[in-house]
Amino acid sequence: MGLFAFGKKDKNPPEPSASVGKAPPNPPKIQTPPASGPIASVKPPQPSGLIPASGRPAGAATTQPMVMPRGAAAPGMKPSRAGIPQSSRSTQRIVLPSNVPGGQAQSTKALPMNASSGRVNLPIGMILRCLPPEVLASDISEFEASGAAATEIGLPMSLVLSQLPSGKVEMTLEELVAHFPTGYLQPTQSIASYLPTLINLPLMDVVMRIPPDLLALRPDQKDVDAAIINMADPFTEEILREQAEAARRQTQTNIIDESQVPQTEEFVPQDQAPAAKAVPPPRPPSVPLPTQRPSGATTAMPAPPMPQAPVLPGRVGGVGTATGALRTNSPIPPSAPNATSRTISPSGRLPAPTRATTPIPSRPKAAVTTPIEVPPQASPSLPTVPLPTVAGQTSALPPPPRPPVAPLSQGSTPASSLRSPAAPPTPPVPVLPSSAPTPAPPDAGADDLQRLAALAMAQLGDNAEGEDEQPPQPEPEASETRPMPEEFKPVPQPVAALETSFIASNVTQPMVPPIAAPQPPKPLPFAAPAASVAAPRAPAPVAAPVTTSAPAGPVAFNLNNCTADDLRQIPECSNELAEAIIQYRKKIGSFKRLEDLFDVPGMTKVIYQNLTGETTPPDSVTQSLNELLGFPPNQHVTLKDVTERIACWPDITGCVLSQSSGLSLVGQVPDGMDKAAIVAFAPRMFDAVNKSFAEITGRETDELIIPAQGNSFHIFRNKDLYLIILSRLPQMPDRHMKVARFVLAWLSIRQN
Amino acid sequence: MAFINYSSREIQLKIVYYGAALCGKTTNLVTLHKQITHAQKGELVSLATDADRTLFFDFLSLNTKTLPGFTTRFQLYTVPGQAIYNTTRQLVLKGVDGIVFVVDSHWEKMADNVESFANLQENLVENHLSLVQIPYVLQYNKRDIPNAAPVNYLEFTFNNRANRALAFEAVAATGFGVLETLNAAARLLLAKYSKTPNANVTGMAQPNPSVAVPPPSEDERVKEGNAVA
Repeated sequence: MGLFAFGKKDKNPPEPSASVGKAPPNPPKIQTPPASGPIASVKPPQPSGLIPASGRPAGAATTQPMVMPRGAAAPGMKPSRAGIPQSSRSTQRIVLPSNVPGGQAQSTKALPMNASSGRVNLPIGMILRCLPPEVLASDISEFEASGAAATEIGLPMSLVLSQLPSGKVEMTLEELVAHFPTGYLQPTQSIASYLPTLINLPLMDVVMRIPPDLLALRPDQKDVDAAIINMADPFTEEILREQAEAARRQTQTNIIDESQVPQTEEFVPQDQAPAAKAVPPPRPPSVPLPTQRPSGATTAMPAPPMPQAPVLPGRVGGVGTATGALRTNSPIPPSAPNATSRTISPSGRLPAPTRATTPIPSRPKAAVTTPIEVPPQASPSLPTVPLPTVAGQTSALPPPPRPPVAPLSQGSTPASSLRSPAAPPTPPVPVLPSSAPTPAPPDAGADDLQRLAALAMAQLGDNAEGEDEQPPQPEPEASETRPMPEEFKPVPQPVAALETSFIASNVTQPMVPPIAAPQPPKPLPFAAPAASVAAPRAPAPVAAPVTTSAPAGPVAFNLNNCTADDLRQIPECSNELAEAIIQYRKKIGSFKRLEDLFDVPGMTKVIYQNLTGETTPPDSVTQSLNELLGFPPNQHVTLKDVTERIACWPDITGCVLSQSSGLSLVGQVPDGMDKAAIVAFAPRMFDAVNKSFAEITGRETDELIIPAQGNSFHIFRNKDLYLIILSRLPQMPDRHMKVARFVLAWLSIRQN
Repeated sequence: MAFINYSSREIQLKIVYYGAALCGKTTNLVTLHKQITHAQKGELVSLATDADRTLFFDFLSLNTKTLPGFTTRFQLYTVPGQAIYNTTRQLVLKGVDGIVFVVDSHWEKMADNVESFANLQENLVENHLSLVQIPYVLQYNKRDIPNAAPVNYLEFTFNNRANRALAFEAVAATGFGVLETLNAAARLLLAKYSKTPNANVTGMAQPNPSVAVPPPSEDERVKEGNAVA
């Protein structure tokens, strides 16, 4: 019989544990006392299996659930039960039988028990141990030695049963004396002063001698709704889900580790690198994970913990969140995966050598490093054809099957710059975004396709900053014969202008224009604040990657497993930045996307390019402090310059940089305001807010916005540094928020 | 009562672990904090004395996504079991949504258990609540001790009311039965708050649109978010 519901699906409660080992004791038969005669003459029954509790081994039958037939009480032995005590302070004896006036039962309380007849037999020795020694006729040891202690006496069942729900069985000595045979206690007259004394009988021994039928539950009890019992366990499911996720990640990690070994020398198309892992990312790459943005939570809008939660326009959530918000500026079709968010595995393996952004067939590394006829005016900072978009969209798609190889005839393509020393392996079928079902224009024959590949390689060479300096490889004549897939045969082109067709149409033009300006220049995200503070309106382009030191080659290591020493091998990656990357990885657990690197304070476009081999995503351009605030590149920027420059922003009335100790470093506030008070107030405000904010969201915030009349406070925190910006606006524009956030991160890095 | 935040799509439910002193309430939360390893749990806040006695209360926040469209955040509290902290127990019970009553299986603690159960009912009355309104689960803790009270006696003592409550044997120190107890309490609460009238059923009251609280608009959410700061 199921007494309990052990979990939702456990309709049959488990058998009593084997460790307990003993069957429940057989209940004694209820002895009806004789009408006359001494009570002591009543032969106490000795039920089999009923062992005195004192002599019972540990863990014995008391842990066994007893049989509880509902409503199957013995005839005339219906359980009676006292009501719930009405006062917690009433620790005294609880005797509220149903026949007592005022002891009525409420609908939600236990049913009152009827007066029970019969007796419960208890060993005299057990009761004698509970009595004061003064009332005993002789010492307890004598009774035990003579065996008289084993004699049992019967106590009224009604008297005992009514007290069971109170958790104790108490009787006055006067009540006990009436049931004691002679010879055990002092004469009543001599112990008159002890008669009102409450004697607490051992509950365990009493309960174990009560028939289980009398401990049955009330028959009219309403059971728990079956729907509730059958509901899914919310927390168990959470754990199971997490375990499955962990197992899947482990599997994914194993697959990636196996594929890591030989790829340092082989060029892998970008669209194939994630797809070859054959494991989808944990979440769609276009959705910024709240857990990936742990830094910079703001009280203005705490990040909702669910993906379904609406993304508010004013939401700012640290550098990463702001970056995600900026990404919404790029016209990405909602149905397509986010082009700028390349996914990497949770294990964080970087497809470091991937430089191509189009589904180009694999080829040896040497072919990539050869110079290509690229016009000198082509700069990485200029907008380029949206090849990364194509690659990014295709990266999330399943891996395409390898088509049969159809080598082209030599000289059929003008792509003489493709210096493939040997025939590359079988190229993959270009996987196109969902909006581009046709891979080539109607006139795109093998020549155009070769040109397309040549253009992609030209861009590749353009983006590969250091590789241009490598000496050109001798151009093998046979390198132009590149196998092309059969699927590259001309197919009808849709009416809509697609990215792929756009690329293909450009390859018919000379190689220069498509790289230079196929699209109007899009302002960089950080250009706006710089322009608004009377800085040069167009931000200085990022240092030309061509002039930077060339990387020694593709360094393949796992971004989620690498050490700071590994990162220091990357050109221009300082020790501080390497440590910052490691710290940030510890903070977020693991890098999910390459773009997450831009959330690391101090990460720049050049270092990102050196580190990943990827061009900077258009919305994740990170600049140095000088570029952010519009200072000349070579100028040494002091803290005073920073605060003064920020204070020159529109609607900004003051800017102060302070420490967690409450002391100001530098800055100014509007007249009439106490800078010292503001600076001292900021850390306290964070402490006060985070006390409750951490309870609500499970993390602390590093940004506070306190809208006030006249001057609203924007307080940013990064470790021990506090940046307080006073603005006339209730909330600064997002771009200013982002710049302030990044400036503080920069300063914190420098401070360390 | 349940706090529903439409802007963050979150429902907060408060579960209080109640019971006599040293019955294992804090141990329940500590074990839960260890068992539930997913990221969506908060830190266990515990104010204890040197002797590991709960001074004020313990707090643990757990998230689930059981109700569609909402994150359900269960806030688990314990109360100080010592008799002198009755005012604290009353305060912790304010706004309670569900109760887990922890019963110590020691025979010697049976009177304390009963007294604590009575105290729970008293304090609920102080908060204008009762066990009829508040879903509760019984947990018979410390089942591994020798000479533990038999379950049928515990049921007879604590679960003999008009409405049967879910009861679980548990050993909080080892984790046995702890998660099951919490799941049962969570199921009771989710069932309580997910009951919505089915408009397709004949005779059911149609939801009054004027009474229903519409979800806030995007602008209102932004204002709400700003108001937090």
